[in-house]
Amino acid sequence: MTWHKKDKVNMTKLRLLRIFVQFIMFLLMNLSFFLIGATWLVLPVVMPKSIFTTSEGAFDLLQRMLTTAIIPLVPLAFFFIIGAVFGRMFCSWGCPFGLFQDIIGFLTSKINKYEPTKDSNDSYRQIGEFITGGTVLVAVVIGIGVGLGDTEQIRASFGVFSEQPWTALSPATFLFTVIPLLFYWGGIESFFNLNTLGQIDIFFWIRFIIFAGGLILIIYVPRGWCRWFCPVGIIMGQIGKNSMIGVGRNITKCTHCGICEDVCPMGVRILSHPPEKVRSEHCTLCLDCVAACPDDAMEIKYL
Amino acid sequence: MKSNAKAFIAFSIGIILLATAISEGQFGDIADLIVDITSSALAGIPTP
Repeated sequence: MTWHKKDKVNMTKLRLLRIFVQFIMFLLMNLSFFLIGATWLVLPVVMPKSIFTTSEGAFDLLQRMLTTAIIPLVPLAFFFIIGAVFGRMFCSWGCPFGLFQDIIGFLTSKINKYEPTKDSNDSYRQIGEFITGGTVLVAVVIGIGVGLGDTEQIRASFGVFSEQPWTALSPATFLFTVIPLLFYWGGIESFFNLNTLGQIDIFFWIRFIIFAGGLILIIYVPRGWCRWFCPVGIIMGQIGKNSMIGVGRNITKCTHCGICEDVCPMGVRILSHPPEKVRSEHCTLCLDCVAACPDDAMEIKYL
Repeated sequence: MKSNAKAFIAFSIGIILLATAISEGQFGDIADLIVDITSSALAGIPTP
């Protein structure tokens, strides 16, 4: 089965549409651009606070609530409700860091990409599970300490990790908080002066290295950060793999050509899943498989 | 267990959590948290 030019056009249109929707979502989460104040919009996406941000990502808020000794009912509610209905759809259609990954992927599409096997795809994901579990554990320990009244001591002990343990290291925070603030505060000048360059905090360079590593990863592995390391993706993958909305295969039309697997940016082995619905924690409902299928066998399924 | 049943259970848990959050007045509590940029997010940023 050959992949026709028409299908390539459909794919490009769909990817551009997705980037457009993601950009609109990014604007909705940064309403201070339009002089609108903070909202209570909590979404299962990676969106750390910055100058213009008027809402917050659910995992960023979950950490903050745990370390403030508040049971995080609001972020958990949004994880469960959105995950049960839409699965990981927000990873593809609403996440600002997903938008960044898609733009980098689009710009570097000529570079040969590394596609891991299904087993290695799953085993690298265990690193993300470790990050997620470790972050929640640290946040709970801090929250217990704060709840017992040792706020000063516990904040001093955990230092920069005492409010949002993962957010302090996340490359998304570097992109959406650190870089804008460097320009907003004028701290960027420190990098062009040899006298002040050496005075920059070592923690800044640690964050920079993690961001640079993440950037190299997403150049060579499509949505590499999203599929393996993102805590929001790990949580939404677990809740959302049985979501009400998903993609499935029409077995009377499917010829097992494998194009759907080739175009999947998350490396989902679609043909190894039951045809009624793809039940993968990696699937983000990007719909690339639906657009690319030359036999129209891939369909959106409800319930 | 059927996948659809799991989805409905997850959805029900979410609704219960949301109802509890509203009855506890948690949306009011988090307003201050949402507007803050934490020291974790600001760690190591050089200022002029």
